[in-house]
Amino acid sequence: MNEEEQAPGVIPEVHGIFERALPAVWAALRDKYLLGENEARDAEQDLRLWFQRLGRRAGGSSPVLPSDLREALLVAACQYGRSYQTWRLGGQPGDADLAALLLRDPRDVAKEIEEELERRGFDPK
Amino acid sequence: MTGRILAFPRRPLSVEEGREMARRILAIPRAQRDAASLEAGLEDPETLLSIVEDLRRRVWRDPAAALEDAEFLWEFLRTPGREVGIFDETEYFRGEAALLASVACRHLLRAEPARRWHERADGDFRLTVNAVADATRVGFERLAWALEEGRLSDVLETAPLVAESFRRCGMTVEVLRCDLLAAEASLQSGGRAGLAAHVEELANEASLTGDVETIRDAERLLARVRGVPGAGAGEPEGAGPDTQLR
Repeated sequence: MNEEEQAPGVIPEVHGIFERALPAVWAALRDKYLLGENEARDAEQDLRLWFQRLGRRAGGSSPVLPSDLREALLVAACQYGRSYQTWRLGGQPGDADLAALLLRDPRDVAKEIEEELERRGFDPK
Repeated sequence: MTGRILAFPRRPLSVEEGREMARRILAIPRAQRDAASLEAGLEDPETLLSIVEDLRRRVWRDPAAALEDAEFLWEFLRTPGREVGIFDETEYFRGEAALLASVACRHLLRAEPARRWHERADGDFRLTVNAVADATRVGFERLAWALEEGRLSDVLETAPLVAESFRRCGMTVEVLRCDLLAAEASLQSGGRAGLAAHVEELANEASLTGDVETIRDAERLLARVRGVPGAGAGEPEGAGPDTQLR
């Protein structure tokens, strides 16, 4: 068990879901929303804290199924990437692909990432 | 989940720091809290999570004080422009404060304020990532009120639907609590045929959950179904009638 798992308030099951979803989260942040490596690390840290709190809602009685948790995390990662780039670029991205991506619903982008990973034979569930 | 632009806040508190901050804020007299609490870090989601956990533990022991704190929290979070944490956390915490206020109102038998809190909780929970489970918890509160008001046929009709929604969310303890509530309604409406066996089964299931309050509620109901005198004795002061579920 690593330090993260031993921290108070960290639920091991939620921690496991987060770790398994990390490749998809990084695909969203780096490949789709073009965050730099340091920006993506900061985003990962924010997402990790939010995700642990999500798992502790409603008294920790596991109100969210693991598959729903993973989906919520990936959508959150896409929303994070979208919001960050919108904030950073002030609504005027120079990259045409990024500009188009920022107009899309993060839920659709998240679904697309899952499908792409599945096609590549990646099964983190 | 909302589509709003995210804020990128200062360093968040750790779980322990959040608990300590919650203790300090709740120790401040209500009348002095507004300005002080802002300075003390009430906007940090760890603090809010700790306050919610604290309120959930004491809402049935001291509903009047819990109501005051839940109202304070809700008022704080509804300040225009106030956003806490990231993603859906503003809506989640505001919905949770409203739901806890409604639970307190039920224990205080204040029907009209409880209904207003149900509506408020519903409005915010619609915007959380966990909307179905959160809305179902509000549905359970409405069921508990129906039982308080003696609308037994409403409880018997709706409880299975709420239970099914909890089941689909994987919330096994809440499914049991719904079943117990329906069994209570059956008992009160005189439908005892086969009820004892059913409640015994629920009590057995409850014992496997490890949830102390559900186990206690199930055992009390079983004792009443079996007609054991004095089965509701031993309630903490101010906890309301012994048919109330937590």
